[in-house]
Amino acid sequence: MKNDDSSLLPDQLDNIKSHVQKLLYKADALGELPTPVDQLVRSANLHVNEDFVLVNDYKMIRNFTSRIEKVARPSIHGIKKLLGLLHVPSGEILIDHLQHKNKKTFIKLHEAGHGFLPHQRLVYEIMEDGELELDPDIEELFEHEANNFASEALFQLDKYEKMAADYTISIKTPIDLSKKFGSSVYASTRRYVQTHFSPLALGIYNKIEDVSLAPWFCFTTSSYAFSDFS
Amino acid sequence: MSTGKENLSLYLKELRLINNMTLRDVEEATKKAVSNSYLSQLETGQITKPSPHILQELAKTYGVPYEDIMVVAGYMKAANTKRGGVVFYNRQDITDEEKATLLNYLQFIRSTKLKSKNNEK
Repeated sequence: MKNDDSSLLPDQLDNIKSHVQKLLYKADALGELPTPVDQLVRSANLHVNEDFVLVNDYKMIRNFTSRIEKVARPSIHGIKKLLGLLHVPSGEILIDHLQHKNKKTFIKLHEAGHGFLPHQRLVYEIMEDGELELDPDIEELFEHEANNFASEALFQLDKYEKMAADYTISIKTPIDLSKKFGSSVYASTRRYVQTHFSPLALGIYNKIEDVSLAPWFCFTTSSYAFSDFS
Repeated sequence: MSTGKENLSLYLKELRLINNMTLRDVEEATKKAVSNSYLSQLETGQITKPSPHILQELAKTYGVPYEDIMVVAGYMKAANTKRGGVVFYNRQDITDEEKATLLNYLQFIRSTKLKSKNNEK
């Protein structure tokens, strides 16, 4: 089963929610559907650089590799794995523009989380001079926090949960809600199952083309006893 | 030999006493982000892994660099690889070697785009 990429302690999640609320207020976007992502990014004093294709610009990658091959054979696998990045000191976000529109929305908000949460932004500013680095466990925690930041902003805190409660329990509900919230069906379904007042569980079989990822995802509401499908 | 975790509780208590603050003073100064009972457990070593956002609140309250507390907590250490303030978001884990390549690549596309913009002018 795929590793958990979003679990947080209650105090950590509360902290994320309070910062998302601050940013939604600042951007005058609280309750607005779909969440005006670019407005949020600007209000976080960040900007998306649309000039850079970043990942799938093969001509650029070829030029790059041919230039440094003389020194050392580069590993370009890292480039292919990249979805986006944030350069904290300049506030610049670069994303893989060939990703689906809804995925790009999530990536922007994920990066905005790294740049807006003060305890993260300060750490990355400190790391700019290269003297200190983060413990891997804390780096993973920061990724979980950024994922939660993106989800809370995209689904407008508890707005999704309240709207979902008015619909019949069905797989069609998160699909319909994904259109209202401008999210991917995957993100909406995950949110639906994790926040619904009724005990729900969802297993997702991942696309087989990416063989390096384990095939199972499992999400449940907190009231649902967790089952290990591995 | 003491570890960072053992030192953290003593360090935090020392910082509070230097600032002549009670547990309740800290709770008020942090607008309840750090409750007096939580801080008490932190200073007595009952809580050993506080969240970084709590440490940032305490650094602000005690007027010390955030990185100092992060290092004592064992959350930051001397760097093996330079990151240059860049946060990567990947579909899979990346190695240190791949991170170094990514930083070089980032510099490369920046300089390439800059050159092409200058040429346009």
